[in-house]
Amino acid sequence: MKNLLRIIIMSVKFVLYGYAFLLFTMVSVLAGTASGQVKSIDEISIPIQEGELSIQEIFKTIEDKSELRFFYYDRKVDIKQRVELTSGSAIVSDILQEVAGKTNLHFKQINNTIAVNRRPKTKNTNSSEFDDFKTVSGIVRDDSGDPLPGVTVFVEGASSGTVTDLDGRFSLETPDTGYLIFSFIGFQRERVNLEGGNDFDITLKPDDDYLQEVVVTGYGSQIKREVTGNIASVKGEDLAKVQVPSFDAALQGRAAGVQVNQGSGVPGAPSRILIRGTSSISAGSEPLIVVDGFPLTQELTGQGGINSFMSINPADIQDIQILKDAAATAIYGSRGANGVILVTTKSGKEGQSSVNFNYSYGVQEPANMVELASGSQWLRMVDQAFANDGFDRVWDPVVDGGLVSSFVDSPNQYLTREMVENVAANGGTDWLSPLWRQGSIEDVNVSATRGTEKSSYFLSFRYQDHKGLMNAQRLRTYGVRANLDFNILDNLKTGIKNNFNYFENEQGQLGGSSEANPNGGRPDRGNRGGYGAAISGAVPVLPVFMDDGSYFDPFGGRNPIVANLPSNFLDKAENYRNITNLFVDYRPLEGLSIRAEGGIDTWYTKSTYHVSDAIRISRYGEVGNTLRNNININAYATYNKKVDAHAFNLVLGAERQRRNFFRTDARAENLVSSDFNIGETGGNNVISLVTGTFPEFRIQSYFARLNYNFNEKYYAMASFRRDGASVFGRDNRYGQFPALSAGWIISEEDFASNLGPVGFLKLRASFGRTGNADIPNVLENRYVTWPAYSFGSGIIQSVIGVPDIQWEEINTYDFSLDFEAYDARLSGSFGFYQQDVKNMLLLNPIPASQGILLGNSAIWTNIGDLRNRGAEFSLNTVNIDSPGGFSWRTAFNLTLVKDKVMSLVPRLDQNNLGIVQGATITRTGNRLGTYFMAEHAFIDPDTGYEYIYEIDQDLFNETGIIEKTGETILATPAAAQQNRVELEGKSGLPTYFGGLQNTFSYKGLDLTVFFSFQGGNYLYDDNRVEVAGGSNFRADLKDRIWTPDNPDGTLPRQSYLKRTRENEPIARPGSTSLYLQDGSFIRLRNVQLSYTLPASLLSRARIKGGRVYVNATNLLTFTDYDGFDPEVANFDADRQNRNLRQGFIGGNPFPQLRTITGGVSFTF
Amino acid sequence: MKSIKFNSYTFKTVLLLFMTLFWSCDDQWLEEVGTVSNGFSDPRNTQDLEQLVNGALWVAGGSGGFRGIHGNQAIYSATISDVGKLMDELGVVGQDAIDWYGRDFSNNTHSQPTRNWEAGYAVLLAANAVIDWVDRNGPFNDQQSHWTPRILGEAHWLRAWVNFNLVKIFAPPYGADNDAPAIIIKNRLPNSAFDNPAPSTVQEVYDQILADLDQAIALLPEEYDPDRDPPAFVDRQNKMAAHFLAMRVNFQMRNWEQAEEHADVILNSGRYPLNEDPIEAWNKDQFGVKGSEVVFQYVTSGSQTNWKPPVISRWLGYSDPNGRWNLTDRFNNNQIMSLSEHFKSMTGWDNHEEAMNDKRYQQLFISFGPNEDPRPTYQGLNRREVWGHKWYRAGEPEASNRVSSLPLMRSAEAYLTRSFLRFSRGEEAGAREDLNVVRNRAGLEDFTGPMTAEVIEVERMKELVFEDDRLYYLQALEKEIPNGDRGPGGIPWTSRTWQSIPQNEIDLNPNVDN
Repeated sequence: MKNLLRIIIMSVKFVLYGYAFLLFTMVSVLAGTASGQVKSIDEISIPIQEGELSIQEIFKTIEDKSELRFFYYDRKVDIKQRVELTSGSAIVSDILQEVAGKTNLHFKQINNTIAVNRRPKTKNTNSSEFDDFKTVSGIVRDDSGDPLPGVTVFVEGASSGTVTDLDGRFSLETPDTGYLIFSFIGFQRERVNLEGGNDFDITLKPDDDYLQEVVVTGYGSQIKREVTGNIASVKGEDLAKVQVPSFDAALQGRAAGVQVNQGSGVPGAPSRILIRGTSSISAGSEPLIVVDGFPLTQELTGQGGINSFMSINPADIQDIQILKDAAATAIYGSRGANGVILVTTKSGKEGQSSVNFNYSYGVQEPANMVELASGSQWLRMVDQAFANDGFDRVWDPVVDGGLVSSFVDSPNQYLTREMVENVAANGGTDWLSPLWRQGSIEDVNVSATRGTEKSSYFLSFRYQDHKGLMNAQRLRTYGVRANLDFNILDNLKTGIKNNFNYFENEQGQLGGSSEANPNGGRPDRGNRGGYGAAISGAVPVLPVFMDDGSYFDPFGGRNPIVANLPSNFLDKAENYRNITNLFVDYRPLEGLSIRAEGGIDTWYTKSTYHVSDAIRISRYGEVGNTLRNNININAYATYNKKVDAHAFNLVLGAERQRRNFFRTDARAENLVSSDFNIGETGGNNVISLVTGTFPEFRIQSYFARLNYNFNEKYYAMASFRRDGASVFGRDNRYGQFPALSAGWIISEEDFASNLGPVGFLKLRASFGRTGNADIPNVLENRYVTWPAYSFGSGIIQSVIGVPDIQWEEINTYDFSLDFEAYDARLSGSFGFYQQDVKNMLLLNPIPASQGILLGNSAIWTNIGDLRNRGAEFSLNTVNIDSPGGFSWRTAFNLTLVKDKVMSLVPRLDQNNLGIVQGATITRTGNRLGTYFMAEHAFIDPDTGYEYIYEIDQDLFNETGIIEKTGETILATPAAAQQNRVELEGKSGLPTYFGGLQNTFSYKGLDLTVFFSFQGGNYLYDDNRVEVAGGSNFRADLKDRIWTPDNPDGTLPRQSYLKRTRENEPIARPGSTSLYLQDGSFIRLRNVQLSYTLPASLLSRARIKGGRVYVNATNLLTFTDYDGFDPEVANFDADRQNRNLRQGFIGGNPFPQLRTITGGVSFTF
Repeated sequence: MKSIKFNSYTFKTVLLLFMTLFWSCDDQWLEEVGTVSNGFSDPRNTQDLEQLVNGALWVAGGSGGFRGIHGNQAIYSATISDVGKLMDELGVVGQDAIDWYGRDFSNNTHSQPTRNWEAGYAVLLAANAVIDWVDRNGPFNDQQSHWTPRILGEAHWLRAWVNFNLVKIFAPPYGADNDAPAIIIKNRLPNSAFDNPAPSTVQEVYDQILADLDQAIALLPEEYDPDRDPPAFVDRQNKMAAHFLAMRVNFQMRNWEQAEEHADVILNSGRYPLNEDPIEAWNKDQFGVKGSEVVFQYVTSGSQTNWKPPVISRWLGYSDPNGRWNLTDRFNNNQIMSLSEHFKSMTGWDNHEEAMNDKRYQQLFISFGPNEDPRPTYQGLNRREVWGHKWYRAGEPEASNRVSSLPLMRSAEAYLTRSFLRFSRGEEAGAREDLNVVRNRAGLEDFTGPMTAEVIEVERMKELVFEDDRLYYLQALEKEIPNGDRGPGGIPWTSRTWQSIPQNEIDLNPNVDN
């Protein structure tokens, strides 16, 4: 932070120095020909009294009685100097001529301004006062050759200037030498040598500098330079470069403050997006996603295996704005606490038409997969662990390993030690490979756009066929978008954006071993186990087939090969999703527009599940229907008004949203046919129907926003939103969310018109309040209704309702400085923010005596404070832009985040306790989700057992204070539990993240290399790190575990019974810090090489543009973490778990994908 | 630029649009979704009340029937008293049982008592939801309103049952220190989730139990009547279960007279004859089916249930190594106690052949000679051991269910209690008669020797071992608790034999101190 302050102070100093410098150089801004309406001073007559007057009095008299204004610099013009006026003329030019004759002053009219300067001293005393100047003239055009009016033209470092007229023409008196500067908003500044002639034909290049972009701000838009909130932008074309099925994954590393972690490589799998880290403990931390003004249905892990964002085709995206500070998000009120992502899709533009075709095909393989023990290795290590326990016989797969299910009648004869030895000796069974393949992703995108004066359209079609790494995984996407706009009247526009997607998702099995058991309360789905079983319970010494050719234990769950045969298992979800938005925009008066928008997002999923009797006692089928509806309507009026240099923009509006959810599942047992469709069930079928509706969520809001700008230099914004939500009690339904922000474009100040290389400098500051209500809709009493005692059903209260709960309140302060230098070759922003979360929606654990046994033994309370601070830095540079055509651009962003719990529940604080979530603790004064486990001390080189540090139990029991005694003790499960310490500074939440992109271009060849990184977090590795007879483990354990031959092993001596030789139980992975690792990584996220085909080649085929490319994602990962992938995302439905246990890697992580794609793209 | 004219058509249209918009944004739209209530259960009809008491019995079993207030407390009283021998050298015993066997109660984080505490208060919440509602509003006026007294009676019974169980687990025995803090009395719905009362004294808890039992006896029907009651009531508590509990509570409080009155009511009803073999009380796994002597049993049965067996059956019950659920170490090969040598010598069951004449020994226990135990972990045992085999009938190899109903009140106990009470007031003939009813059912001859309290006590040990009785019987009689196989001697009846209030309650309840 000190560095940041220093930078700000230096910036201010820099501005002041610049101001001083300008005092000597700047005199006036001149114009000459812009308006024919300006009267010449020859024509203006002003009666003025004769006699001795000061220059000041003369100027004032003229200014009062005309529209003329004098422009001068005090130090150069002595305005107190007195002049005797004698001519008696009332014509201004005469008066000034007389003044000039009697002083050393020189006057020049530019429009209504009269520039006053000292008369230059000339070497040639004979020359006239105009001899210093030459007159240059010319025309300024845009890149299409059309004249550009209003372009400022001035001499670099000099005081004179003009603007171009309606025909783009200018004329100006200049010195013989020096440079002319052409400057116009939206175009790159041009610098031309005056020695090049007197007549100039200048073409200004459009300025793609980010300051001129139009930024969608929520219920309106602004030019970026005017924005006072903190908004990051990502262009659609950048997203399209990363070949991912949905745009969320492509956001990784793209913008400061935006952390995106991909969950896994399962087709349709979501990413987890967090903006500015985690700022809640029990409530959700995910941002609001608004697509074309419509708040999208967001299900964390999606529905039917399809993540919520897959419905938005990345190729349809024009741009994405990420609203980060409260000034930007407060207009979204209660839903803005975790940031807002605004996605704008493409529309047709007037006068433009094109057809685009894009085809790509990619192959995929797992990234960061770990190697598991082979058959012989497995058996050897299990035998060793068994022998370590002192058994004087060999390990038996049935008696000791339980590797045969209860469906086998004579287990001891079915699987013998000899059989597993044979399997191991023959290389062992590789369970994964038969389920596994090289994945592929094929993508076809066709779009067409055209715009006329009356209407425009953008149409697109998408087909994607994603074959996952598992044979059974295949996700086919068909998407159609039609964005239509109509100008019905001059002041009435309407439009519809319709987006339909159909996803056919054949989902493989991911779960671990699970034995068929039809006697459960809910019909069991049979021998389960796919990927998870193949890397765990299906151990490499089990056979696939028995000697008689039948499958080994097909009901047992340890044979994923039979469980995943297409004839035995089907899990398919068909998703239909339609998102339609309609808008009407009416401009009844100049400056006033009224816009009404309505949208509906309907998402229907039909799932089919079928298990054959080859892996289950009977054929079983399920069909599920899920319907999710989300309706949003809003109307708002925007009024623009400009009074002199004051510009106002006022927005007033109202909005309503309702979301609901309904599902039915039918389950049938003893199906007669092996047909996947359940169809008519007859005979001895057991069929059950499960159905559910869930409370509707409703929110209604009123909002207002006022933007003010003075002279396009000083900007201010005030916004206010009032939200009412159905999740809260009657007296607490409404919350108020105000925000204020200001921006100062320092570089627009006269004193700062020349800041050396710095062309643009803007200081922004904001404060705002947003709310978070992302908690389950469970504030009323809930019951568990399925408990059944004897013949009767029962109800059990599972949640205690809390009618007096309110929004979680987040007050955010934000300061930042935006800059552009070296003709926009260097641009960026750095800033600092602080989020103070007050009255957190915290799950407050309640004493057991309250009687909530099932469900939540905690109630939602507004209690506790949290602080989340951070700094964001982004920099874009054009490192090389040679005339030869080679260019090199760099974009870099870095975010630092730090959270701190300021207070929790008084009872917890008083007892020095915190919220313990799994192996983490969240305590006042420390970070969220700090690891809480016994601290590993060493592996005893003599015995191989793990030792941990002891804590002072008496002190802990009396005060809750954890202090190590300095002694070490054997890590038993009880000791590990009782000697947990807070591992300060070690949390699963990253403290920094960012991205670095380099783009190299040369004559149509483009190479983009993009890295993303994050770190400061710790990962808790719970996966396959111990020798166990019932599951597989990592091959590298061989070298890592302690053995008498490897006394320096980093993992403890393995025991089959998990006991020491003295029969003490030993701590398992997960209870000590031994398995905790630094989770930092840098990932080569994307590399793309593309070639734009020469126009000369394409023009014959009437093709406007063509491009071929090769793209690779997740090529390399640099990390010290030795487990599966260090990029993890927690999607637990329990929000507290999701927030606090971000670094926990359990279960069977499905690998991320490494994808190599080739593609072509044509524009017609 | 045009200026806004307030009487223009355009302006009026705009105004109308906005008025429509804001007019429609009334609060009613949000209310339609439903409102948040006071925070605790709010039944809507008699069926809800019925489901609350039914759900309360379910939750008494703990989470999924696994660890609850429905009988697992027998594990503590067995390990603390003198009846069992802990198998800690076999590695099948957890630290919690080792602590209890060592009569060390310093660790209040053990999961069993914690779950008992939690399940107990969950039952109380449901019971209070019923009692509070009816107190405040009277019965619902619906078709089932005639159920209300019975449901209310069940709620009072549940409260008494849970409080009695909890006070035995977590507080000094009655009479040792009646002013000592015991458990938290919950006899009404809390005002809010922050309404956390402090513990009451032992005396206050027993007073509450007696008051609830009075209500339960007054309100509960004699027995299940299919024309009046829902089928679900068949396996729940009737008036006799209330008398049975009142007998136990009064016995514990040394209210001998009242205890005997209640025993009389039960036994004189003639509904619970000891006319079946002992095994018949323990082998029922269907709804609505129980042994003739069973006054109340906790039903954990049914073909569609996935309930797990109560921990008592896993810890104290024997499981066949060839049984369906015992293929590997999945379930139940960690039987932690056999009968103590002390127990066997007191009861004469140290003579296996002779003991086999007792149907209880024969049917409810299993014994293996040296190195005969077929279970791998127990194969090294080099002397005869006698293991409890009362539980887990349904877990036999041929059965598909894992669970069977758990008898919690048998008339045999009432006979033995009354036998003692009759004996203690000098009515030896009556005492002998009651004793012999129990003996005869076990296939034994009438006892004809001189009646003593010890004779009744020994019969009671044989009849009720591992049924949560021994420790509290000794405390009720203010007798020393022998050390059993730990060594000679014993500890006074007032010695520490109870668990501390669980740490998670202490951590979160500001009115409970460490």
